[in-house]
Amino acid sequence: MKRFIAISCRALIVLCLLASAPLLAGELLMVRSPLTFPEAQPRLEEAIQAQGYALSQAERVDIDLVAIGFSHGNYRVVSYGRPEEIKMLSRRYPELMPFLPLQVVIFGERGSSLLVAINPLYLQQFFSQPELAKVFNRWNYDLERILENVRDVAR
Amino acid sequence: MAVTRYLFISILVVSLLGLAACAGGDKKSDGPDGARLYDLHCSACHGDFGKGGVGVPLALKDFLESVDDDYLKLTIRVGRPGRVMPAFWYLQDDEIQAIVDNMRDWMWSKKPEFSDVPVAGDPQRGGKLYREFCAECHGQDGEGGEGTGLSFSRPRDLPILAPALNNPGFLAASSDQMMKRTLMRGRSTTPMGSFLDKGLDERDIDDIVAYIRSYSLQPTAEATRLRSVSEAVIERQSPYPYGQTMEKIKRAITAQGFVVVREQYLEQGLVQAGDERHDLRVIYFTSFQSINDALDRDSRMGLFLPSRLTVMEQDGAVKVMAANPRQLGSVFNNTALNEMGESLYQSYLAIFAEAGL
Repeated sequence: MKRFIAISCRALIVLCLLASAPLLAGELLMVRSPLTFPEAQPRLEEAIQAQGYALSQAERVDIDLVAIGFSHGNYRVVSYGRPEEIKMLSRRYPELMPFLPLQVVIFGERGSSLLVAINPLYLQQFFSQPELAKVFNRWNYDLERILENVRDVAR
Repeated sequence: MAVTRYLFISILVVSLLGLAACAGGDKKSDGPDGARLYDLHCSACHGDFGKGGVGVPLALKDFLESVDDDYLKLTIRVGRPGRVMPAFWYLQDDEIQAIVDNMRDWMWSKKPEFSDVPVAGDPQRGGKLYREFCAECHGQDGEGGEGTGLSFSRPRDLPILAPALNNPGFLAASSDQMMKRTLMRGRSTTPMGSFLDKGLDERDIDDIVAYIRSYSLQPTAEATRLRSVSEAVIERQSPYPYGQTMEKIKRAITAQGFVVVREQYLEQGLVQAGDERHDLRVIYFTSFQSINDALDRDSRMGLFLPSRLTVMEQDGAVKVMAANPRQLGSVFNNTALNEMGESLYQSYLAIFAEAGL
């Protein structure tokens, strides 16, 4: 009996945890590239463009921080998007604008680089319009290809 | 001639047998590629070949000999709520098994198997022993040590830090017998020593296991509670024209103690200069200390920082919008960001109020 209760107890925790998981996908997409940061950043930018997007900017996050002693030099937020798509979305779904342009964070870590982005499918739980589901799926597909392109590279 | 023919036939037979073995003998070749799945889902945190990084090193012989496949599979499946390690609930069973098999292939190690017979112990007595022997590392309430699993930016020269024993993910994945084994033998290469060596006997250890298991019956610890949000965006409609709204927002940002980093068209860089929508702009702002604190706590915070407000005009209405910072903890599965997200959220509200929105 005790054994049954113990097993049930663990199973119940697993069920509760799975039930509280997000509906569609993990919140983040994150990969490690064997490239160093100076190699990985241009590779990321090429991969974004190869997937049919325009680059908006690659911004530092330590602007004005260096002067007061903080430095995050090997760190960029790379923004990208498709101009026509952004125009369409801004007209039809203005509430989506705080998540645009799309972004990938890239930073160097111990001779390799980490790349992180919000999984576009994460947004589906907040924006349920069928037309947007297609958009999120496309972004997700493209982002996975972009990240793979930077990850699966021989040094 | 006969010898040559004999040699040729022998080589042919051996080659064919070898080919057959390659084609059918290795069951793993038929299933998901564990090494690739590990690279895809795990190596960003746990490092190549389990060398460690943000996540604990996994390629430790003693670790692999202390945990059974069920523990590893359930850990992957449900993660550690609130402590960075996400739940890979969307992976198939055979994919998770392949990842675990790949981990086992890193080095030769004895794969333990634990019975699911619960440990019979006295949780009250175990609680006293826990506070005496375990709490110093694992926390008074099993909340774990600061560092691993909480800070994405932790120094990598830290040793493995004591895990949170009250975490529902840990409790789901660990069997009583596995915990008992760890307490009895300890884990070499970590600060966790054998409790038998510390003078405890098997009954004491059973009681501690019973106490740790009793966390399952308690309300979820604050350290594992992520804030869920129903709205991804917070927004206000402005009663002012577009230009005036922009000025009021920027003044309010400064009045609330932040610095406006820059202001730009949302389409800047995406279209030819001059072709951008002028009524769709983003104001970036921050306090420099807070951005540094945020990056120290979780390096991935650059996805949300500097803070930004999007101001757009559509059909004569001016709206000010921001990604809801209350979702920070849940997006990064990091309860250490709950407070920061709440604080940012309150700052946004204060800016809206200050700007008269």
